[in-house]
Amino acid sequence: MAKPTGTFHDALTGETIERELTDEEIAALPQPSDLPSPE
Amino acid sequence: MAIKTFTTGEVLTASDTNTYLANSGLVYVTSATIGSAVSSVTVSNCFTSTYNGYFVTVHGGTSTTADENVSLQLTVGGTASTTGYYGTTLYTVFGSVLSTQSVSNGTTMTYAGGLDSRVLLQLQIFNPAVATSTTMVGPFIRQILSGTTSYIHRVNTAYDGFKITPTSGTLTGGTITVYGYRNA
Repeated sequence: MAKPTGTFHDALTGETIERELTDEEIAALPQPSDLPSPE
Repeated sequence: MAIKTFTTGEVLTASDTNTYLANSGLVYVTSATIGSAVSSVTVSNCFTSTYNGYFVTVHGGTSTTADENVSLQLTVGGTASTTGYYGTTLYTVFGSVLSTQSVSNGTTMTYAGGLDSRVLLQLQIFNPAVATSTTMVGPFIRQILSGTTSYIHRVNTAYDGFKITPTSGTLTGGTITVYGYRNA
């Protein structure tokens, strides 16, 4: 299964690249949350 | 010089024109186009000592998830800070009563923005590029709710960028734009 990708923009160079996330970056992705329930 | 009052008959020099036309309060810093089916977007080298305050906004694009949170982390050299986020988010699911989400020493600014099949994020960020805490405030809007969000990142490090991540799904297209509040 392909790894997820991310967009990386450098404001100094103006360059924007898209690359696969590292294992560490993948581990840091947020997990889906429950929708807030109306009170 | 921030402000100059011209008088009738006074010569408008090229120098004055170049200086004062650029003296807007809100100054464009950079913009990034979000890629195709990406899980996160990192904007680096957009926070500097030039400005104390910034406005970050996202326009256009799509998300595979219709309704969720969009989180934000401060970054330096492309690496995200994963500690020290304290914040309170007040919101109402439309037609319901006020709810609160409060986070103490979280790994991210969980409620930085939301999704409505695209990213909804309009944040003000103050003092990210100095080695003090950083504050972040703005609306918190998702497809099914709206409210306000305010966070302090209590890590005394200077950051040069930020990373936004939808809680689930991917993003395609759209533009992130960063503006600076001119100091003087």
